[in-house]
Amino acid sequence: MEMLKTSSGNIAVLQLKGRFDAHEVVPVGAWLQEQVDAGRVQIIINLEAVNFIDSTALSSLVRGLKHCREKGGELRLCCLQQPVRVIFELTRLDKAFTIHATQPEAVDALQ
Amino acid sequence: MIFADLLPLHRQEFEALATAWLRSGAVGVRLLEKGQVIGAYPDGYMAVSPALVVSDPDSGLELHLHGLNSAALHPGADLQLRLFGRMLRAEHEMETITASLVETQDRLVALYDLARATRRIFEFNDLLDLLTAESSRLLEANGAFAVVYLPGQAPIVRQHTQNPLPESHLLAAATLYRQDPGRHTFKDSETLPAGLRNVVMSLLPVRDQVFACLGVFNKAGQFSAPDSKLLKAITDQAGAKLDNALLYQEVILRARLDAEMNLARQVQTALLPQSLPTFEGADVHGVSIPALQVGGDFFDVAAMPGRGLLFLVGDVTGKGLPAAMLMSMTHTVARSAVRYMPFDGPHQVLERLNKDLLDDYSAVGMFTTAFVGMLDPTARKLSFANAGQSPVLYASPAHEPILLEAQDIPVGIFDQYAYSSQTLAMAPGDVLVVMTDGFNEARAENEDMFGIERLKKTLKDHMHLSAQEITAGFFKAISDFSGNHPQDDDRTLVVLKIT
Repeated sequence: MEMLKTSSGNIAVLQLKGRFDAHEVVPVGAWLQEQVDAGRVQIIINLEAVNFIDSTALSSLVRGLKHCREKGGELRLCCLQQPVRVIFELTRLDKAFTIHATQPEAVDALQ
Repeated sequence: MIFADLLPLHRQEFEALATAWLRSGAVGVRLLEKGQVIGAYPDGYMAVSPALVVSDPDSGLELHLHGLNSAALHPGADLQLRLFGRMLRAEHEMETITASLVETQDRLVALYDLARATRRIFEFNDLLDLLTAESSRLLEANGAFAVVYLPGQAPIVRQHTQNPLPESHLLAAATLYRQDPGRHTFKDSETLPAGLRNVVMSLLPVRDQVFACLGVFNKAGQFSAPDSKLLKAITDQAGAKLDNALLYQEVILRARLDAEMNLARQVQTALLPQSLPTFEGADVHGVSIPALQVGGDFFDVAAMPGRGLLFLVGDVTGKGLPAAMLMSMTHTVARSAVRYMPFDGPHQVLERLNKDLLDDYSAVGMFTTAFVGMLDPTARKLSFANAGQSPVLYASPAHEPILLEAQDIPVGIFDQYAYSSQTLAMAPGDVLVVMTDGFNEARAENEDMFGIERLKKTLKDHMHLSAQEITAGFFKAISDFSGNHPQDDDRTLVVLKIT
C-alpha cells in the first residue's frame, strides 16, 4: 500500500492507496502516533484510492480518532470508495467518524 | 645452523670420508658450517697444522683437510663435500616436510575431534564455548571469542581465556572484521581494542540474516597464514553446526509455543457453548472456527426462564492471541450480562459491555462488534441490539433474504454511547443468521470476495433445512468458494429458525 503524507495549514493529511488490511496497519498506526505525539491532532485520512479495509485497519483508525479527541483534536475521513463506504456502514463506524465527500470539504470543516 | 643437529645421524658416513683422507696423509678432518665446527675426526681433533680448505656455496659447508696441501687433491675433496652437503640438505628437507606433515596431521585429528564433539552438542552457546576453547588451543593462542548477531536480538559474545576481556572490546574487534571481511589478521599497532595484541578472525557461515565470527587472539609472535587457514577450516565446518543448533532451538521454542497455543485453543473452545439448548418453537445452532489456533470471535446461546432464548455473536477486531485475550474477557462479561443482568432490552447488554470494557479496549486500541438477541418464543418476537455486527441476514418463506444493518457503533469506542434495541416479528419458517465478517470477506484463489449477495443466495438455498443443516450449508459454500485460499479471518455464525 502507498502512503502519501501532506499537510494543509495545521492539518496533517494522509492519502492511502490500495488494500488497507492487517499488513498495512503498522506504518499507518505509526504515522498517526507520530502526529499525535507532535501535537498535530487535526488529521484527515483520504481513502480515495483504498478499495478494501479490514477490521484491524478499522481499529487503527478508531485508535487514531480516540487519541486525537483525547488531545482536543479531530480525525476526519474523506473520499470513501463504495466498497469501503459499505464496510463503514455495515459496522456502523460511519456513526463514529465524520466522513466527508471531498478533501477540501474536510479541510474546511477542520479549519 | 641447520646441519649441526643432523650430523650425528650421519656420523658413520662422515667418519668413512675422514678415514679415507687420513689414509691419504691427512692428520685431521673438520667440517664447518658458517665458520663453526660441527664435526671433527679424529674425535675432538683440534686444528694445528694448515689445511686444504674446500667450500660448498650451496650448503654453506666447509671441509678442512689438515696436513694436506696438494692442490691436486682439491677437485676430489670439493666433489665429496658437495655430495655430503647434498645428502645433509636432502635430510633436512625431509625432516622439514615430515614436521609439517605431523603438524597437519595433528590439526586434522584436532578438527576431527572438534567435529565429533560438536555432534553431541545441540545448545547454541555450548557450541560457541567449545569452538572458542578448541580454536584457542589448536592455534596455540591465549584465547578465543565468538560474536553472533541474531536478527532483533542483542549480540551474543562468548570467550575462552584466562582473564576475560570486556565484551565491548570483543564487539569492537568483530566490527573491525565486519567492516573489512577480506582481512583476517589484525595486529596491535593498528586499531585493536585494549587487551588484544593480535587477532585472527574468520566468518562463521550460519545463515544469511546472521553475522557471526570467531576470533583467536594473543599468540606469542604472530598468527601465520596456516593459522588463518586452520581457523577458516574450523569456522566453515562449525557454521553448519551452529545453524543446526539455531534450528533446534527454534523447533523447541515452536513446539513449546504450539503446546501453549493448543492449550489456549482448548480453553477458548471450552468458553463457547458445549451443547446448544433445545427450545420449544425455535431451532438454533452456532459454530465458531478461528483462522488461527485461537481467535477473536465468540458466540453464546442460552435458554433462560423468563427471558426466552438469548443469543449473542461478537467479533473482536484483529485475530490470533491479542484478539483471543480480549475475546475471553468480553465473552465472560457479555455472557453473564445476557443471562443475569436485569434489563429492559438487549441494548442494555451492549451498554454494560461498553461501560465495563471501554478502558481496556482503549488501552490496546481495539474494539468489538456484537449482536445480542432475545427471542420470546410464544409471541415469536425477537428483540435485538446490534453494535456494528455484520452480516446479519433475515429470510422468510415469503420474501428474499435481506441484510439487517447494524444500528449502532461497535463496543469499546466511545464512552456514554446510547445503544438501541429493535424488534422483529418472526413467523414459522423464518430464519435469522448472525455472522462475523469472516464469511462475506472470505476470498477465493483469484482473490474474489464471497460477498453479501452470495451469502443471501446460500441462505435462500438452505432455509428450508434445519438450523444445523443451514450452518453446514454456509461452511460448505465458503469452503467450495475459497478452494485452497487460506482462511483469513475467524468465522462464527448463529442460525435461528422459527419452527
